[in-house]
Amino acid sequence: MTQPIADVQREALAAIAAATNTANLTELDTLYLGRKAGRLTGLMRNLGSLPPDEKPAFGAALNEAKSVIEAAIATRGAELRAAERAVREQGERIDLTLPGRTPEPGRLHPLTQTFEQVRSVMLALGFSFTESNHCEEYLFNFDWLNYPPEHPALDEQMSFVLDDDHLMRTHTTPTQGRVLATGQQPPLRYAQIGRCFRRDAVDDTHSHTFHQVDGFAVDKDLSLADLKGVMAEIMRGIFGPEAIVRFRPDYFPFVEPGVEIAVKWGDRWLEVGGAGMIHPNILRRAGIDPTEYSGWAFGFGLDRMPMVLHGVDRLPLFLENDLRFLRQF
Amino acid sequence: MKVPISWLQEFIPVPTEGQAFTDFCDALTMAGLEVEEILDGPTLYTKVTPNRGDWASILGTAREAAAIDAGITVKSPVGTPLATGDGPVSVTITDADACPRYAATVIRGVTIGPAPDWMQERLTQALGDKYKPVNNIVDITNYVMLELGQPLHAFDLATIGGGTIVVRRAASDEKIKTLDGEERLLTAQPLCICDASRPVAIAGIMGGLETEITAGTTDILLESAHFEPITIRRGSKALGLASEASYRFERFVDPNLVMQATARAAALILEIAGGVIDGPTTDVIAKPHVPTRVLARMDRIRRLLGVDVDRDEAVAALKRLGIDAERSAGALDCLVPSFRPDIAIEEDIAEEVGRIALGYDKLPETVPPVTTGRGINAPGAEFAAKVRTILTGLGLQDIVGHSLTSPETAWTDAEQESIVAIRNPMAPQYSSLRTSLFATLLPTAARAVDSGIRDFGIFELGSVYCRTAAGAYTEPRRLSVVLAGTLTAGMWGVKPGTVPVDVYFAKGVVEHLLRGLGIGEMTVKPAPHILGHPYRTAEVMASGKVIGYFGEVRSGLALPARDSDTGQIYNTAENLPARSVFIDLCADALMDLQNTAGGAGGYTAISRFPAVTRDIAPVVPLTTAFAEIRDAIVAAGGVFLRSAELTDLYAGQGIPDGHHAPTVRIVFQAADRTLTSAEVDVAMSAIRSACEARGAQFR
Repeated sequence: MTQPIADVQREALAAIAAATNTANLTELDTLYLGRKAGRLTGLMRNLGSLPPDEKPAFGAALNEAKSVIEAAIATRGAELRAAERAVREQGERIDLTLPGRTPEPGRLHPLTQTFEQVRSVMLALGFSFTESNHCEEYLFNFDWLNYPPEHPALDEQMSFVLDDDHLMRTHTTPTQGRVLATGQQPPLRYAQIGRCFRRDAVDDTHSHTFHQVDGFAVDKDLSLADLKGVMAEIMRGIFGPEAIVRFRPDYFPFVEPGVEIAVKWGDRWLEVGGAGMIHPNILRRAGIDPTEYSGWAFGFGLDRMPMVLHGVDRLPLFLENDLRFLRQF
Repeated sequence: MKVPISWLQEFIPVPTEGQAFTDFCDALTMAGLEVEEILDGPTLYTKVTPNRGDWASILGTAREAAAIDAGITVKSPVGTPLATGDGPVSVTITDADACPRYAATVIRGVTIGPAPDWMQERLTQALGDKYKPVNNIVDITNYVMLELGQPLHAFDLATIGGGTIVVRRAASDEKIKTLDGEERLLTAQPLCICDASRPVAIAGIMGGLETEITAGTTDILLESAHFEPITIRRGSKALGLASEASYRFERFVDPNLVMQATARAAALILEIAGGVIDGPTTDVIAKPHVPTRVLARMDRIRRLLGVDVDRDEAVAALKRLGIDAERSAGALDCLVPSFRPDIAIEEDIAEEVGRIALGYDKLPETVPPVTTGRGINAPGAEFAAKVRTILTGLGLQDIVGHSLTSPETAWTDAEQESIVAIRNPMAPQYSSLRTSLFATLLPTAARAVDSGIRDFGIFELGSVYCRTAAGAYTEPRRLSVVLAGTLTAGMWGVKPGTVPVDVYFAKGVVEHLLRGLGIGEMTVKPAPHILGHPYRTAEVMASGKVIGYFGEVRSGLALPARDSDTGQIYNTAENLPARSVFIDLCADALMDLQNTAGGAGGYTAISRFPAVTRDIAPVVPLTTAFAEIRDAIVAAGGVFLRSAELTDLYAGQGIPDGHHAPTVRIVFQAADRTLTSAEVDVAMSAIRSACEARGAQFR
């Protein structure tokens, strides 16, 4: 009695195996399992006319055949869909050597990047940042910093003069006097990043406009060794963990002892700035007892750093703002 | 200072090549006397710091090397001490502070001629181009100055009236023709060396032409004196005249060199030019040098350096430096030699101990604890970082431009009046301070165009400078932007002009900026700006204050700016792409208005229920402001209206002349349920009526 079922199943499985595309398979699904005219569905209708004792076996065989055909369609369908997707995707091949396509991103100026890097390193070391004007008083640019009147040290600071009392500041060190003049008492740890001006001829490594960071601290028992430790931390923050800091005696009226700071980066020693123990005359002027407190101060140029780090050979490029230059950073 | 090694070797042994020579130079550098360069000879090019005038000599260099290396001893300079007393020339000093000591020596019967070759060679090595051979006597004075550090001067004795020297201030109506041939008015009354009637030299700066040594000179007067630094510096500045002598006197010359240098020079003169010394040297000491004593406590030295230093090593190092250090309880009682005027306080002794006894390479690195709490950024810097993040996020390039510029960019009368001028400019392109950031941005844009970049957005956040009527200097911070072309320029296949940077782009930048800074609603209304197209420029108001402007750059109006680097002048008419736009904001006002309190801006809850989106496109006359329509839509939209955004603005076919149709995308959403379409229909019909009430029609 179940022979016709077996015949339909055999025929269906053969057709499914021979199907070449998913549309073909959909047709076979309709042909054998379709609700209205499906071949298996047609056999189902014979069920009613069978004697009652044969009905269960016939029904079971029908259901069995239906599941087998369904499974075969599903399996073959998955194969065919994968093959068809592969063909379709192959047709969607693109040329990946064509250039990327985004708008030009906005970028920070390389000097801004340097300032922010130095700032974050120094904030982490506990420095609080101040800001003050570029048009500065002689009082803070020189007098507060223990510059002896009419001293050759002033010749090293060729300045742009505004009037008898004002000049374009020649360094960021006035931040020291500006903080101390407020009468704030130790412990102190302050810094400033900013623009400075010197009447210096422009060449590949000099400009009349440049940038510095100055930092200073006043506390009990601060020493030159502490200064070296802090400078080393800062320089490693900028130049990487391998950087080595070197001190060499140097002279600045506002520090005693005074040192020049150099950093070993790669195999070169780079002179980055000056530092030293704050001169007791400055502490006294601020109403701080130099026998009880000591302090250190340092300042270094920020324009040479991106030059060194990026291998830029001309300092003036930074303030020229050629977009072909700026878009490289 | 150029120090020929062969000359230095007359005082100390110096290796001339190989590692030993490199080590010798490095040791000097690391102890503070920097060898900047090794010149031919070999000759050391050293850097003399302003506090160490004693380094400006061969002897001073030798002394420093000997202090660093305990194995080196300095040979004394050659020269038999001369007798002093009442010499043939009388010396009177009227200003003992300015001239504490003056020694005059007479040598008769000299033969003038060129200096010997060996001396000329050394002078050439040490002075380079500055050396001009004069004659044996003058060259000898220069030779001794370089060797010992003591400037000397030789007069033709026959020209010294009255056989007398008076060291006095010049009278304001006196004048002198100096050796360089210039006639100089002595109005500033510098200290002068005078004979019975007139100045014959400007003390410590330059001799007079009329009393110089000439080929016919037979008898000379050799001057060796000590002048006070500030006197010489003032004289030099007032006359605009500097010399090797004034350079040294300004930095303090060892007063004890006076007779030593005289002896050395006299010996050389006798040897090279012949002649005999006539009588004793008249050596007038008007004000004796008082040696400095410094008491330096060992524990203070250790605390300043932050490292333990052995006391015996400290004493030994100080002795090598010529400082006579005696142990005195826990301190060192230091007698400072006359050639070290820079040593005056305990800290100075600490420096000498640190650099010579210890060596800074042996200084440890310690990081002191932070006792001041966390580091706090400057409010201005924090604000700037926020602004830069927002603007670079919108594709704009951060610019850092020159402060020094020229007055061309002070475009408005107000700027012209408040301009800050440099009193001593170097070049016209940096003769004043910028009054506007366009002084930087315009040349930057112009250069970009010249280099083929026509699509860009650039901004600068920085100071401009004003001098107020009362004479005070202020440095307002501004934020200015120039935009041109399109920001999709780098995107291939995207049609040019698809996303133009126009006035609306500029407005969007301002909106994003203000939102990012937490500044509440801004309002915009047409207003003039010097740069702006009269009908495409607006002022921006927030919290009732005008905070700036944005608009389209007015075409055909040539506003200039000079490139600070090249000096080239650009202008807005010729050097900006057509229809460039600008933003010009007061950064100080933005900073005042910004919301720095975290979270105070609040937030709008996000609904979990679906939104319903409807578009309408009312046809309105061009004269109807979009804001009016949008406000009407928002007001009529009911409680479920979430947003009403412009998505298109259409004019053309199907729209009557003088009209256009903004498409507004309206989003409805409830916080607690899914809206029914009936609810949305009710709202939309109210919106339509509201639009019609303002003259809108629907197609």
